[in-house]
Amino acid sequence: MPSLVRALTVQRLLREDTTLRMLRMDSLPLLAGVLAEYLAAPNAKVPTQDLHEAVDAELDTLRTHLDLGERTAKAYCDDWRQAGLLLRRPASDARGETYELTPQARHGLRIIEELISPRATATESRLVSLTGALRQLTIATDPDIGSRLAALQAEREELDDRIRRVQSGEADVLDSRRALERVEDILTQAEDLPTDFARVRSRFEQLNHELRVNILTGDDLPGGVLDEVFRGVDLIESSDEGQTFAAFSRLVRDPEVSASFEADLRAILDRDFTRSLPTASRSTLRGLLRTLKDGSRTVQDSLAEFARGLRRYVLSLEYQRDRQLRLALQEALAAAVPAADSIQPYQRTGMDLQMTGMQWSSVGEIGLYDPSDYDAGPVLDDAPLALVDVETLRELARQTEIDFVELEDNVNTVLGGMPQSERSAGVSVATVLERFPATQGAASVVGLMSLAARHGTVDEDRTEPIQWDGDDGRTRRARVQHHAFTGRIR
Amino acid sequence: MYSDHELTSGPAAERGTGSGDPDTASPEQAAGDSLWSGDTGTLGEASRRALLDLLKGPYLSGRRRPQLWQALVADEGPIRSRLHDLFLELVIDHTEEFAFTRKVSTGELQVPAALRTEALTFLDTAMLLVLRQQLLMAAGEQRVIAGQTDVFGQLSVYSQGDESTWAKRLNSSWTKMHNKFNVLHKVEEGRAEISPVLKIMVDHEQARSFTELYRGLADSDARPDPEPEPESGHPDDTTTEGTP
Repeated sequence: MPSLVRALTVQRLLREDTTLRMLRMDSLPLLAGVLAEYLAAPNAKVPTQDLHEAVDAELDTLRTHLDLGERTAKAYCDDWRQAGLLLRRPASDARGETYELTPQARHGLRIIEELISPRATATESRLVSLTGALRQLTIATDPDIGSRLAALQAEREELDDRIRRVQSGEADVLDSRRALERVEDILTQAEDLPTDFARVRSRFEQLNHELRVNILTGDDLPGGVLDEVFRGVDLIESSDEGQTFAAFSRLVRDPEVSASFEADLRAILDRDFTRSLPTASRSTLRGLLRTLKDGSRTVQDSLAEFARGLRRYVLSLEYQRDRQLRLALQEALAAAVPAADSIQPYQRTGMDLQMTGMQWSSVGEIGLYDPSDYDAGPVLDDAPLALVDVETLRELARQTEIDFVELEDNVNTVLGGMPQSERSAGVSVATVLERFPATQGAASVVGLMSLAARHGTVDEDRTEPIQWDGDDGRTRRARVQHHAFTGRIR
Repeated sequence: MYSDHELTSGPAAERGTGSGDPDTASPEQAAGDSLWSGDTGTLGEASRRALLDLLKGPYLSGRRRPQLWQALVADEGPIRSRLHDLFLELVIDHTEEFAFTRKVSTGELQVPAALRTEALTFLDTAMLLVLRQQLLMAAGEQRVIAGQTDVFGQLSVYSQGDESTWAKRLNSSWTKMHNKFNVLHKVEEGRAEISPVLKIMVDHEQARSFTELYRGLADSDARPDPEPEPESGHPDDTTTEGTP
């Protein structure tokens, strides 16, 4: 491929390919972190609410580490769904909906997984299976009977040779390092399966939807879809994907094949060398057949359901009514456009809709009025009014507020009793306190200092000792920064 | 009104003909089995529950209530007859497994309406059509869930007035679809399942009559509102939850 063509193709993919878009998303760390945790398992489905809650919980933790905005889990999930990474379906057994990963998202997660823990592919194991597969393919496709026979003969001789060596006691057991390598190889292949299943299933869904819409709109009926469905040809099953999948599924469901598969898996898990495998790999291996069967059944079921539904839909002639209805609905919606100009949206049209249920109410539903439910206890009396003089009120106020009026007067009095020359040097808080001891304890000191900070000067390099009496009559001392008043306040 | 023995229920086993536990009463239970002393009903217990469920509405779902559905299918004849006694007819969709009641339509007789009807505003009619269309285009899906944003988007061609007023109108109709008309069932915020009953509520004929209504509106610029004041007394923005 010339580099221009390739470059243009990649440029197009950057725009259109879902997996690539996923890998370039700002929210990728969150996306990969959370979705791998909750949805990566084969055939995994999570109720939308649960995923929202899980993502919200993760967001709380992740916000401290990543640069995430104030968006909610729901907003993120909506984005991912629109980007084609999440699939929302009605849950089959509950009222809500579930999320699952699209094949593209699975693919993206696999790539990330690969980056996190790269796997060596240039292994001996890979080479052995490659040469083996190549050899099998050569034999199977050789049109010349003579050379095919020769190849098979050679294969048998090699087998005979191995049998002789084993009989003569020559150790032929694969050493555990190489055996592990092969297991890893098998696991890598197995990991592709969920992605494949998801892709097959979504392809079927797409096909089903296309067929339905085709039948309904009738705009584009290639080669008479209806005729074919009538003839019992199962269009979905006979599509390329359908046939490939059917072969796979037959093999998985073949009792002989699956029994020997299962036996081999058990035998391998009993071998010493698999002990050193991580638990996750062991359980993947153990559940391999289950995964294959479940995945294939899910696909098979949806396939059967689509096919059945489609056939029934066509045979029942329901589609004819639906086509007419579709036209009628379109017509009505179009007619509503000019009508919208001559009626307000909230105005009644004079048409009624008949409800399908009765409005029930029985005497038993009526709750009796029980006055005691609303009894709030005895009425609270007004307390008798007492006469309070201004001094008492002032005293109350002084307990909660700094008496600035008093402090300002004090400062002004001290300043006023001084010659102009001394005044310019400033009168410190300590000097004021000497003339007028603090009447509100520490509150007076704070008040003086804040007044000085606002109206006077603060010398950060000097401190001075001050003292005042607390409520308990004891004297307190402190060193504070030198705050001074240089002029009258107010 | 009630005789004493109707209110005091005796032990059920006394009269049962051996079909056992009333909780698992099968539709095959011989008709005429009385469930309590003085019971003159003729339906089995499950069938009676099915009948009650139909009357309560909005519909009886076979998927959600398989036992009642079985009873309904087995006792369809008698249940239909009970409903006829109330001038109601039974509508069953066997493939989609739901059933509901509606007023019998007969040219021969003026029948009283046991079920209530709700007046439709212009926006209600358009929203019903859009929902019906979504239901149709999702043919083959077991449950169809609509997104509020999609529906509002489709209705934007009819938009009038400033944006916030229009949004209020839309919200009000959306709420009515839930609470009054019972054709939407909330799934989560902004997502709702479209009731299968809408399939039969808005059929070809109904769609045609909407078209005629709209054409009439477009032709005569006069407003055919039977109540010319625009519902100013009770603005329909308020949720009508629970009000009959």
